[in-house]
Amino acid sequence: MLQFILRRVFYMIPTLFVISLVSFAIIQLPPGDYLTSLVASMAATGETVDRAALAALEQRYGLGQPVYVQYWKWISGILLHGDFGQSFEWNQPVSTLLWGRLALTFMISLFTLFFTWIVAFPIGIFSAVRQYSWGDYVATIIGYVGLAIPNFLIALILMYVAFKFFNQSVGGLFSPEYQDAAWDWAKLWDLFKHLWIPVVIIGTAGTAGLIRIMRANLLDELHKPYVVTARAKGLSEERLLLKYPVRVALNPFVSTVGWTLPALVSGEAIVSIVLSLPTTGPLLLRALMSQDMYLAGSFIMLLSTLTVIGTLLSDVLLAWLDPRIRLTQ
Amino acid sequence: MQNQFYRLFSLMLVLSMVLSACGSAATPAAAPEAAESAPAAAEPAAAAPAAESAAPAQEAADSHESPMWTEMVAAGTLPPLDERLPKNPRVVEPLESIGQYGGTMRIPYGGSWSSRLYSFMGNENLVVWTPQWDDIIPNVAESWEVNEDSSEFVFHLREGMRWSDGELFTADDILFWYNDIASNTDINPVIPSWLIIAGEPVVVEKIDDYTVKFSFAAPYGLFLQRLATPDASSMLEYPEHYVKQFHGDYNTENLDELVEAASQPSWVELLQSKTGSRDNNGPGWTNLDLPVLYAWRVTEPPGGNSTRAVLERNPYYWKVDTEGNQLPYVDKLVWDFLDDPNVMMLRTLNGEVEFMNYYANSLQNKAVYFDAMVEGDFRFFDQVRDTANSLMLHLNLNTKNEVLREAFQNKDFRIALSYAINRQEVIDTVFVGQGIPYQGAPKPTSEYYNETLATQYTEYDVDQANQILDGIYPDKNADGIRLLPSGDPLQFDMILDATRFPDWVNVLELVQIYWKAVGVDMNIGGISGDLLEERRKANDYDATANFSDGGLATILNVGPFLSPLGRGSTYAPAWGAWYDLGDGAVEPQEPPDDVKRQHELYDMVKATADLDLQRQYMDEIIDIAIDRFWAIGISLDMGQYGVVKNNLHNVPLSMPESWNYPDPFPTNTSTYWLSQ
Amino acid sequence: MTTEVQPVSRENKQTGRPIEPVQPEHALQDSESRVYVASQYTLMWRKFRKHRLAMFGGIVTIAIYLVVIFAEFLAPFPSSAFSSQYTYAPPQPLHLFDETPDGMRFAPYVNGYKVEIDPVALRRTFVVDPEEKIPVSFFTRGTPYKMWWLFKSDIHLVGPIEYDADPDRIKIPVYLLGADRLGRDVLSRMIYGTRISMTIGLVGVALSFLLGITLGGISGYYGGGLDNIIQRAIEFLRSIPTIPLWMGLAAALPSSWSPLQVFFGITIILSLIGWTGLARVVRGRFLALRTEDFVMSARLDGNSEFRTIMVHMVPSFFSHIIASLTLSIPGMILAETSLSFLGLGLRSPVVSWGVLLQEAQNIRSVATAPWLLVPGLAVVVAVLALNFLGDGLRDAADPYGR
Repeated sequence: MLQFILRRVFYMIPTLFVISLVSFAIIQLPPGDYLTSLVASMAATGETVDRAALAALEQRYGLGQPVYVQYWKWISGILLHGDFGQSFEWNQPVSTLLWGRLALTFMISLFTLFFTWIVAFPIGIFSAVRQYSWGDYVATIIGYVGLAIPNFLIALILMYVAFKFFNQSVGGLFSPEYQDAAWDWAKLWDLFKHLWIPVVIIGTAGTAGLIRIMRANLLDELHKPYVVTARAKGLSEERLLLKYPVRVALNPFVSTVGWTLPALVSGEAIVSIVLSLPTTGPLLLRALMSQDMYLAGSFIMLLSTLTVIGTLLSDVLLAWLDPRIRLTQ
Repeated sequence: MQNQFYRLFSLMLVLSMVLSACGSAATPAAAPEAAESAPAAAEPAAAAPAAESAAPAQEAADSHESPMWTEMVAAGTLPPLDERLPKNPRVVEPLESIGQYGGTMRIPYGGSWSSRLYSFMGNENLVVWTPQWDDIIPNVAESWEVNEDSSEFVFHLREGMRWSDGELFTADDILFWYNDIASNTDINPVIPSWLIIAGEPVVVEKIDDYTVKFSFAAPYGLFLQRLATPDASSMLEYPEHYVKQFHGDYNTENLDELVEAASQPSWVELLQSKTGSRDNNGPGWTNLDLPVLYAWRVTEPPGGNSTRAVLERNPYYWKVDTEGNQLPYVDKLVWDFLDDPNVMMLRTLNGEVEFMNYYANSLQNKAVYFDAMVEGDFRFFDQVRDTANSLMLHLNLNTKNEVLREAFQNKDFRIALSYAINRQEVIDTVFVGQGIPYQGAPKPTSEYYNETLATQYTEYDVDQANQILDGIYPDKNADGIRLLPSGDPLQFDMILDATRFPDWVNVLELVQIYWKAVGVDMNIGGISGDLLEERRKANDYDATANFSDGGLATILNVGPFLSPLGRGSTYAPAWGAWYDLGDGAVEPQEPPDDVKRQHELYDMVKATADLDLQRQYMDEIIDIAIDRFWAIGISLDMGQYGVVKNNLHNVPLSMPESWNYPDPFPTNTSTYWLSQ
Repeated sequence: MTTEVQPVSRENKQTGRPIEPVQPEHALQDSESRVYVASQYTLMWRKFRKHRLAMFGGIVTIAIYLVVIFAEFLAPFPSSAFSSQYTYAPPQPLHLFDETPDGMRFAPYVNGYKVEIDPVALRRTFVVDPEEKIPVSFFTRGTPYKMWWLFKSDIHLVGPIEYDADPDRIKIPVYLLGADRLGRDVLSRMIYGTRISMTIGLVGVALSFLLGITLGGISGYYGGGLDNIIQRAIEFLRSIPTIPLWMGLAAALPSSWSPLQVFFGITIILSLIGWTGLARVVRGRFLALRTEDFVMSARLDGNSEFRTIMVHMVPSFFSHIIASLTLSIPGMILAETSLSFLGLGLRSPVVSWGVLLQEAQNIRSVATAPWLLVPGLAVVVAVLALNFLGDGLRDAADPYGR
């Protein structure tokens, strides 16, 4: 087992190296650089920039250097000093921006994960046990609708509904009166009032996949001899179901948690943009759009690294649950 | 109404010249007088609480400062009002009413954030525009003098005026900016172009603590106007006493430690990351310690982690209303960073925003605001834009494609394409019937309005268009597209930033249909803003769509439709670069003689202070522009709108919108007030 | 197992589904033996029919692809035809019967509008005019088109009887699903959008399929170092957040490309990211199969590796692949809408569901012109149908399933 883990950790090193290269390459792909993008966005609002101001900025950001110099500056800063560089646009160290936003992002992702499970498990179990019944169909349709509606559309509509019918302040995670307030129950309640919209939107998109897996796994189990035996011995249907097949069917879930988290983190991006949430998504998108390269690059690097670690955890869990995998590797 | 608000630019010039000639006349003269009596009256009231801290409540009634400060003054943590105000504060006459202190203004912002903060309060220059944009009035400078030929300008600063940390603001701060920031080649490799005339940079001298003199090598007729624009703001962004600690020439003690602690490569980057609200891409807004001259100062910086910025009133703000009350009226500004226009719009509809003037104010949205006006308790104000036309179609006369260049340089070809456009249909379809067919030309309210320039070739006349084109390219292919002499079909791409300007795409889609009908195949190349900028810089495009700024402030911006000059003239970028290698200029090419003549004339406009001569030179530039017919316009720009809550007062019903008039600042945002 | 299958399949037979790809030759035989002698595909079909949602999904999918094929005929107007008078016009309900002097007759019509411009609110107000009837007809003449770039025709399923030959403008308002901000017909645009979006799904999945089956096959069949490299590549691709990857790749598309080329470019981008899931499925199958006896014997028989894979292994899990493919089409469609949302997607004049939704993605549309969101409904229906179809196919393809 230890050998397996060590081997996988060893594999991670080249992967992470390539990821750092590609992160940097991706942000270099669009034409121009941060200044180009700054000038373009200024020009779009009719703003003018003096040549002198441009020259000063170019020097300040060091954008004239060759790409490999910039890459080395960035990666050596991370490896040697834990310094991710400065965000051009926000005039702050990238690390401050990253960690500041990750907490909320993870909170939303965790809530979403729980929400997904709460919705997906019952529907999955129900539709496996009552396969091809009308109940199965209705439950499945409900579970799949979330997947089918484009996230940004449902976000906009929910936001409009919240404004039109509930007079709720839209966008962000707090009402204006709680923005300054210290943490108390009222503020927490206010947070939850805002949180449900993104959680439901992001969550519904993921339920369908889980329902599908749950249903398939459970169907596999239900036809195994031990279930038939147990049933023949007179075990009540609920106990029978929950005691073994559901537990077995759950295994793959546990082992894919590692996969799910990073997916949720990037899945929230589009929803957060529409809802103006203070999470990583909008900041990342903005950084990409404005070619704020150290911010964007570090973001991609971080999210990718999280996924790689998540995958590793999944694989380790899976190997631990199922020795066959360990052996074939 | 526009006429009422937009008096002619010449008037502005006349006034400013007259003012400068007699030292202080009309407006400035009136201002100090009012001011003198006002703070005098204020003194006892303000001083009283300090002396008799036992009974501040009694005195509060006739206090001339925000209740926020009275307590601090009473406690002795803040000097009394008369010690905080300059001897001669600027007196601002509120538009409608004397306001009440207090309240929080919520303002949404998105896109380029530092520009929005700047244009709300940062344009505190030596001189500023009047709210109507028809004159220049004193601001940080209480008065000024100009010599005969407009080459020397002497400004008198306000004695006792203070930075927001309580330190005195003096001529030394301006000297520090010029000598140690603008002229320091480590920080600024090049001196800003607005400070250079006849190839020589300005000379700045200190006469005394409150007097500075700017001398130019040649007459500079437009200097005062330049001083009012955002270009000149950097002059007042560098409080010497604070910035010195980051400057390599001054701090020899612990500079290395400061650089190290901020993990910056050198003191230059450190200094740049701590200062500037216009300069350096606005990092000053994120530095809580930076002393400012603005009405509000940052207490919670805008940043990636916070979705908002909070600003509170500046205790040392140096303006008062006509009753001597220290401005601003509003205690606190909360800027919510909403990067999605839809969220900004919903907030506004919900009445959660006091002032909204950009980003979510597209013409398409107006109907929705209109329906929610009562529930949301807000009203509209008009934005009269400097941009003359809804959009200009620029065929690149200097394109690298030789065949197309020949076609585009043929004036008749452009005339034919202009005739082929059904402008009224475009107006009806895209602009809900608002606007009239128009070319790139000063707006009807501008002094330089010229009917011929504005309306030539705007008729919809397909027959005439075909007739002209038949004379140039008679052959067509099977699809009805005309053939170039080379045998290739007459095709070109019109590139634009499609994401930012969806309305432009709609217009172009119609234009595409009209031009196809006369056998010209135009492709719409919707590309990203970055790519557009790259291709513009490389002069790598055949045609593009662009703004037409200068519809009102024509004399400050002749590039977009009068003569190839600067960024706005994408119809002949290489000829423009011949005149001035300004920001992001392309490889220059020698222009024809009439264009050279235009450039010469514009130099003469800049150099003279004689208004009749300026007018005469401008008229000649316009005549050449009529003859040249540089670019194809669609319709007169009808402006946009802003939204204000009904309980926000002193906001005009209409204000100009332009980068040179960084709205809404010149309408005196410090006099806006909230009824509770 | 057999005892379970029979009653249900009989019941399904009674419902008489219209589509029957395999002729029930054994219909007369005893039901027991029917199961034993049925071919693999007959078995699958029987199992598939039990999944009613899947059947339904299948029918809807076929209907959607019929729209794709016959878009020109089904759309009343060209997708870019605009109108300067009917911007944001609301839908006009189609009346099939009209009161004539002879009583109620089949004479389809829609009511016209009274249009006024509100210069303050900057909009046109539309009031349905019950007096004005615009006669509408089925299989009527309209704007000429070239079907599949082959046949010239001007017959449209539905449209105004009186029509104007101008292909660029809508002069007689027949907006069954309303008009957009330029007075373009939402129904027509949605129909043309169906063609693009569903084609992106198919083409993208086909490319993913090629990549996935090749690389997944190699990985699973050979195992070892090659497998390791491919697995790392997959892991790597999946670990890069999608949005930056899309943005980077979309920015790499040359700006001189025509809208059609951009369309293919975006399809390729989507499939470059989408193949990994399929490759994992294929690999898993190969891993499971390569030790099976029949593979071993095929190899011992002297079959080449390629032949072993293509003739013996692939068919044994082909149905699974089909199911996975069906399931990945909706992902492609949704990805295309997201790309358009980010402003990276297709460009005018190409119309896709994503482009339509991006145009409707604002408060103005939601508040005052909700009919612009109808393309969203099309996305939902298509994604649901394909998902159910895919689920049904997979259930059916599983030889060990119930």
